[in-house]
Amino acid sequence: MTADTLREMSTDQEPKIRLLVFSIGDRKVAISLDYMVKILEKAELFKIPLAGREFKGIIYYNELAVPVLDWEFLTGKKLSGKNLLLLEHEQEMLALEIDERARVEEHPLMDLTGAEGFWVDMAPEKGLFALNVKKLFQSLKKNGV
Amino acid sequence: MGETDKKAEENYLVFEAGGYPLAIRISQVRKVLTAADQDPNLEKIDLGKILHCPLPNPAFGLELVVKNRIKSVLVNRVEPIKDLRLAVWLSFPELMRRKNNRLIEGFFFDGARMISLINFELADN
Repeated sequence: MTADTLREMSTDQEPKIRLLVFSIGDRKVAISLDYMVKILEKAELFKIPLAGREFKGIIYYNELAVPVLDWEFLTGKKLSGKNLLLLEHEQEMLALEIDERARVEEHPLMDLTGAEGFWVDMAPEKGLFALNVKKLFQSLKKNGV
Repeated sequence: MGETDKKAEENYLVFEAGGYPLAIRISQVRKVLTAADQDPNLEKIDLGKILHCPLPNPAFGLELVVKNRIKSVLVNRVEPIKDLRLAVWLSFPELMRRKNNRLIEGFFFDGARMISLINFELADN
């Protein structure tokens, strides 16, 4: 077995994580596929009273009212996307507006849940940040009653 | 009996306030009046303040029974009494539940509108 072969094996065996990567504003966002349910291309957003500043409204999906996150809550900017990414965590669902060019990428395994804030720097020079989805759900629930 | 059946067995008054389609159980409505005909002596519910939205030129007044007391509330528009059995009942998402939106029990989705079911008995005050 050559050194090159060993190096290749070592690279192949490096644990990887599969992430959905999309753009929102000037930021590239990566999200673990573990939370992903579906991408919806068309869903009507309904404004509801007293939705809270974290949400833009709700959509109807599979006999559920699913809240749509307002990106301003996370980024401080008014951002929107044409498609909706449905996420699920502990039987709660949340939709994020994303652009139309979302794709799945493999990256070296890293902990996306231990960060203090919502964002984990993956490749800041490329503007790529992973969203700590677990923390996001926890924070939205904590803001509640 | 499931949650869907429970919601479907009653009739509802559908009205509009601040641009939102809202529903209330008929059992909680005593009268529907024009805004001008409202009894000035009744305790008033300020729906614009509760929903954090302006209620320009409310044309109708509802007399409601809230916690065994009669209260009045101004709204923009009132629709004929509806049987919402064909609408899909959607529970309020727990992720969005806050202290100030406890009065919204959930939604009737009729394919075009998301009608919020309001229960003033669950309001903070």
